[in-house]
Amino acid sequence: MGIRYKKGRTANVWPWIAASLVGWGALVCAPAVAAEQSPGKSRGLVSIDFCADQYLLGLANKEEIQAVSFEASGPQSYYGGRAEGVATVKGSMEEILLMQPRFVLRTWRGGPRAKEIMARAGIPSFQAPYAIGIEDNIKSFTVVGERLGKADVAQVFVAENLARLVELRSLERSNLKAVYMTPSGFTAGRGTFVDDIIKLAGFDTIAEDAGINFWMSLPLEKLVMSPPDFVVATFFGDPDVHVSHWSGGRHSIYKQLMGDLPTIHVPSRYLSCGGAFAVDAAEYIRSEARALGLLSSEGVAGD
Amino acid sequence: MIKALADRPWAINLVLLIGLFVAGIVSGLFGQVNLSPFEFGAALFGGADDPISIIVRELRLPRIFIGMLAGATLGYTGAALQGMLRNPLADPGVIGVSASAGLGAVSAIYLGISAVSALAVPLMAMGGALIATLILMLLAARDSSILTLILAGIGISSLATAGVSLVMNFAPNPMSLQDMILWMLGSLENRTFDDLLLAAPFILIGWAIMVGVGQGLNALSLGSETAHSLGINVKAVRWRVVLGTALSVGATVSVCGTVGFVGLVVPHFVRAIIGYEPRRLLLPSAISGALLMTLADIFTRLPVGHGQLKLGVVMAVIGAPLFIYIIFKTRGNMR
Repeated sequence: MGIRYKKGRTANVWPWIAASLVGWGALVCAPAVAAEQSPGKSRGLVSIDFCADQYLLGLANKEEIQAVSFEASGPQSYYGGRAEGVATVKGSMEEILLMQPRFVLRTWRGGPRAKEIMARAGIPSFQAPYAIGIEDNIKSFTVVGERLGKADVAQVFVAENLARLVELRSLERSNLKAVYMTPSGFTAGRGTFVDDIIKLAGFDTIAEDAGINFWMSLPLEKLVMSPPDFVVATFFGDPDVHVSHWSGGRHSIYKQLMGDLPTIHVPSRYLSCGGAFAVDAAEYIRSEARALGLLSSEGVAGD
Repeated sequence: MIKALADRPWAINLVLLIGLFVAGIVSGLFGQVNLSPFEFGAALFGGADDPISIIVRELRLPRIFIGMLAGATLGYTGAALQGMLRNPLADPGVIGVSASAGLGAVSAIYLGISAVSALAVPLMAMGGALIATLILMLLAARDSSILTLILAGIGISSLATAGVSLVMNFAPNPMSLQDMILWMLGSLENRTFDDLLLAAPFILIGWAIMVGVGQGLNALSLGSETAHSLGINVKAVRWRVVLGTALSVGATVSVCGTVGFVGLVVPHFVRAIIGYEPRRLLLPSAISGALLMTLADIFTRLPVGHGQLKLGVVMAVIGAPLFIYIIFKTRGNMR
């Protein structure tokens, strides 16, 4: 009885084994097929994650780029427009080894042994440094530019951005206070690059008064007691962000704040990669604030 | 005193209700802005539209009511599941019902169905909870040993967690990921009366389905054969607990995320006071669940570090050690 039972069980397992083998076969073959189909040029430059894409698309000519990551053309990508028509990769080492690019740029994707694996295959790579603060983020383009053989382009980018940064800091400041809002109900407080960008634009934020540190849910009770003067919002218009009754920012007070207060919608691409495009973001906030009457034409506080 | 109370279930319920009322008032006083009882009362009953009134009426009250409703649901279903499965470890969180409801809710957010209809999240959460409860019933109904239940719970939880991880893996942007992570951590912060109105009907229907199962659970504690011989429709009792749990826990998860261990902790303590009769555990467990949830929510508002404490985390810190303790105490029966 027991033997017959066991035999029956063994026989039933075969379809599962066959299905598993087919599945594994498909998985194993997938990267190779993807790489063969990729229209990338041979021995070009490749970036394997979102922030590395920004460096590569910002500094290199399109003809030199063999592939960028699959995130490069998304709405949150600053250089999304330049990524159109460029081959994409998912960033796995197998994929990269098959492509044999001239140089691989990465920031976080690839894993701890990525450099070693690529070096063994004769593929030079560079992991861009993690920068904190607006100036360091801008200057990181110099380091990456040198490694990409694009030092001259990087130098122009950095010099121009630093000059605009100095100019922004020299402009008169407003004493209006902003709050940063996202569809998920999260806000950025002290110690975040978004807070730095709003301050760079010449405004203050409620982070200090409301005790908001880093990234956290918006403290609605505090906003009711001391409402901000205006809202800086991001991600609301992005096509892949679903705003619904169940989003973090669904509360009536949240909606009322955005309805009643002047709101500046900053395109999410300005906030990509930890503040690398902080100058653009700050200038955008300033120009929108002027249009909303939050700044006088001379750039002085309009309150 | 406790012994005297144990003989008078109404007295226990009254004491718990008074405790719940006091906790509700305290919950209304503390937050990002602390209020005096006078300010709270004036904001609650005055018709003014000042900031304090908005905080009390639009932020604190929905939070308090949702917390109580959710806590009562988790406490009641915990006691009912423990009675049905004759197992002290049965809790919507431990056996994977909450995680499965969470998977349903997160899937609705990820797939964008939540943008089509506000009901999508609670409906999918209830669907997840129903599937998990049915699987559990299939796996553990015949063999109600603790080991079977734990293994079934681990299996269902793992499956749901894997599903949530898969959805998070494919999150289209950081915003969606944040939404999902917050859901999984459980919170009552920034809830509205709209949330309450969406979830409450399903929770109440779930409760209504389970009303009167106490007698059946009492009979089931003697074994299903004995329950049959006593004229109890065992199948009907089981189905009512399964459906009621799925509806009420699914709706609860959709409104306050995955908050575990309430259904484990509460009946355990109530049992220590009023004994092991499943029917007598139900109502006090519901009130105690509401009380525990309200107290835990007050705790999340304490200034701890730079961030915000989430309700699910607080409950896990309270519940997980007790879970281990119960396993330790009942390890002799694990077969």
